[in-house]
Amino acid sequence: MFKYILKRIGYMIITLFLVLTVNFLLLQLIPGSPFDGEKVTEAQKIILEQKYGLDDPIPVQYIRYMKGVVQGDFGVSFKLQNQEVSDLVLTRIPYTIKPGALALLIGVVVGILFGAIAAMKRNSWADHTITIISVLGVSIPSFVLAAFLQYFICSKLGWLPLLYQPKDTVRGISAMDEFKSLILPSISLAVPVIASLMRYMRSELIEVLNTDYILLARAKGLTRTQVIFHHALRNALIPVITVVGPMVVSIMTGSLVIEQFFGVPGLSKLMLNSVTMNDQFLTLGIAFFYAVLYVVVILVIDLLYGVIDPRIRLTGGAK
Amino acid sequence: MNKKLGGIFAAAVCAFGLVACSSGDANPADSNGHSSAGEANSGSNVLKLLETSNIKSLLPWQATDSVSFLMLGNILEGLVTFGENGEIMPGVAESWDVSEDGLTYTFHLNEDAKWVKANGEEYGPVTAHDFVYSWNKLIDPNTGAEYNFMLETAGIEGAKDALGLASNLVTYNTDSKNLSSLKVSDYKDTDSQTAQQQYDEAKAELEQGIASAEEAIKGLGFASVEEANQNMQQLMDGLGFKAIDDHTFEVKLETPTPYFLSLMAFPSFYPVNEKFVNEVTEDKFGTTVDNFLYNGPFLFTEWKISKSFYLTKNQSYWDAENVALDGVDFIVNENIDNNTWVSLYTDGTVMEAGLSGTNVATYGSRPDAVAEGDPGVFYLEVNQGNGAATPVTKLLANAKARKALNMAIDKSFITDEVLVNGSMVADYLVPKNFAYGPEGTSVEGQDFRTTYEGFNTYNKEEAKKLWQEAMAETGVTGPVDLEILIQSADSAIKMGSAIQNDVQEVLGEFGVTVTISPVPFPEKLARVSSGDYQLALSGWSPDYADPMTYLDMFVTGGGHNNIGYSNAKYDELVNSAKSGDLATDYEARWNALVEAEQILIGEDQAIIPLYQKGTVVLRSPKLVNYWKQAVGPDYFYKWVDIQE
Repeated sequence: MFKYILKRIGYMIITLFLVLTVNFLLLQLIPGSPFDGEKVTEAQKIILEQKYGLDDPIPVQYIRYMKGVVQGDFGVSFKLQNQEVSDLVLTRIPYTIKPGALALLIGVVVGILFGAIAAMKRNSWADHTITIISVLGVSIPSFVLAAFLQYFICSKLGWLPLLYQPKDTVRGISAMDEFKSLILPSISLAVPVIASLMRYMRSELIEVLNTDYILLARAKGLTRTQVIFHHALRNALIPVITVVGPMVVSIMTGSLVIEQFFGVPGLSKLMLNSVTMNDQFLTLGIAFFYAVLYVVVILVIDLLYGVIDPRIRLTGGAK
Repeated sequence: MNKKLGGIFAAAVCAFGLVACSSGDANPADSNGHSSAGEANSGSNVLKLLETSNIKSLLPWQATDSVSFLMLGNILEGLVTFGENGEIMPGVAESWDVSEDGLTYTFHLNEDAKWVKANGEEYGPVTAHDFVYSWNKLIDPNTGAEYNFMLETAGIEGAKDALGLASNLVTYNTDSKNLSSLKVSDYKDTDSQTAQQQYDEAKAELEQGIASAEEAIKGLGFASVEEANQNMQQLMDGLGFKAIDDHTFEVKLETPTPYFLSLMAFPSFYPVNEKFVNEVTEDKFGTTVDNFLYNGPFLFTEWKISKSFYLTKNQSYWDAENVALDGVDFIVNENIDNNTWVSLYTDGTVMEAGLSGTNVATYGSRPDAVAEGDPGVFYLEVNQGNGAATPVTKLLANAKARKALNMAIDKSFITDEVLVNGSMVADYLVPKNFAYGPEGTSVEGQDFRTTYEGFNTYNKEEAKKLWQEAMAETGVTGPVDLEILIQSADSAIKMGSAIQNDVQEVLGEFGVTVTISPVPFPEKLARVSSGDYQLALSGWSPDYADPMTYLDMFVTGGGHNNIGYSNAKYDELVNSAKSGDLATDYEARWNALVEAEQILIGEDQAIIPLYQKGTVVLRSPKLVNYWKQAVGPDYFYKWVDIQE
């Protein structure tokens, strides 16, 4: 197991290296200089490019950047007061993780639960209701939902705050207030997750419930509950976990609109701004973070398989 | 914010029934957080605002954007500051003398003006040396300051030469470097040219650049480029400003500059304490609130990127007794949706909300809606000689063709249907309510805009006639496809479509089609400055309160003249008003500027003006003395008070 993880980490490093290289080269293709401005003269631009070493040939810049990255230096933002890219990204990660993690929690719990209910009560009114909800959930864009929720729950009813409020003792904002302001963004992010997990769970569980070993288990005299918890759910979860991985990443990266509605100071907007303003190192830094997130999530999912299904333990069996 | 928010939360908590209703969490008085912000928060007179951008730079010589200016204008103070309607009020300088010839300004600094740290601790007096240090930073070529031209704009002695030398040295060094790395093998044969020919062409171009830079350097009195490199410092030391003593600062001008005093309220001219910069090191200076030193009415006590800013009243400020606010509390949210912002305003979380899109129409007629004029002017840049010549640029180089385009566009559709925010149709370049006739002349106090009104306006029939004439004169026949370069933003794209419709409707019968190309901002700038465009939607905001900030843009070879416009008469008028014989005669100068605009826009239609920007905000009627400034920082909170 240990050896397997080491090997996987090796692959991860290679992947990240390739991601950085490809991104670095692609960003060179963006026209214009980060120092373009309505009132910048040619001479000023040259001075600034020299200052940041952007006038060097691309291989030189690339090697310098990679050297920095190896030493943990991701460069500075050209547009935001020379702030370190790593600082800018690190301060925002919590605001991407918090709503994302809450959304994932809500999404996975509710999605799996409802999907299982739908499968077990197939063709009942509960099943039909859940199917309709999941179709709606998949087809309503999350920003429409966000606008709708915000308008009714915050503006009309005044139950929850309009904007995300980070904990701030000076302004009298407690952790509880922060949690409340996270509810709506998380729900908006969770709905698509709930919807697709419900459908997956439902179809997987139906399939598992129709297999021979479930029939056998029932024949052995186990109760329906026992069969479902000990045999069916475990087996149905494996394909479901496979789709959860990419969902984690899409929640973390695809929250731009939600961030906009609820004013969450997360990474998405920073990424968008950095791309449009040609803030190279910042774009690279954020893309790198997303890549790290992705490979780590994939590793975790692969390890989870083994926990859920001992047959797929990866130490000796498969290879 | 606290009590109100606390109330909302308490209500929310109770309504939700999730937790027991207790006010303990929401009571700010219990908290022991950041001490200085905490103290200020206990005061009731706190202005609550929302800011949609982050601060890009707190270094006076580096800042160029409105948020940075707004912060700098309130945490630092220049020699003077602005009151109502841009009236000049004493700042660090308590008084000043101007010599007879208008060339020497002597500022007497207020001995009570002090530098203060973020925690309120006094650091030392503000001296004339602090201005010298900061202004030197602004012009130092190593800084690469975008706004270094402000020193030349102010007419400061020696600034023009120093800036010219710096820019020529840069050209010379870059071209020399490129020349030495130029290789024939980098080029490939094409159908029309061999590699050698292309190489020779590139080489000749670089050599010419080097030669003209060298000539310009020698023109400044240097024997060689090496000498100039060494003497750059000398030129900088010879600039016309110096500290006579700690509290007397003298500025010498090359030419009398009517707007010189008003420039002294502009953030690029604010003082910085050199000793403190060296203490925290230059790299760290201005990166956190503690690594900055304050002399303005407010201290910057909390800087959380993308979350919040807090300005606390500076108790050691020389005029602290006249500062009514205890603090300014900003929610910082780059992502905010306009409806959310309006909701925050209506529930009292913030005291002002900018309106955009359909909200302008929805809320624009409320009694607390305020229409604020803005001097920003937007126009189409017309490429008439920048870059490679094509049949289209040949056509656009004809003034009649440009006038035809100008007359074909129904600008009122853009202001009334697309923007709907109080923007005004502009057929002019120098905006309304911006520059007024100088004191002691027959035009004193007169709005520059009222001096001439006869610019070309919307006229479909005339447009058709002029376009036909232009085609006949240039010999360009057949269909013409005009590309309009715009920034990829929603409103810009709508505007582009409106222009496309109008032009095709009016000139379509002559085979004119219009393509809109939305591109990211940096790409737009790059293409416009390299001449790789036909028409481009652009805008200009003033840097100082004088028509010159608009009118000197299009002089031949000017840094901002991306349209390749050149008119000797116009150049002469602008130059004589800048530094020539007219500079001392304010009335003649004023008239020259009026004439320059007539030539540029009326006769030559060098650009196609579209509209003068307007903004509508919802603002709490409790705010008094909340004055929007036309140039420099948008607001000076020093004067603002909140009346219950």
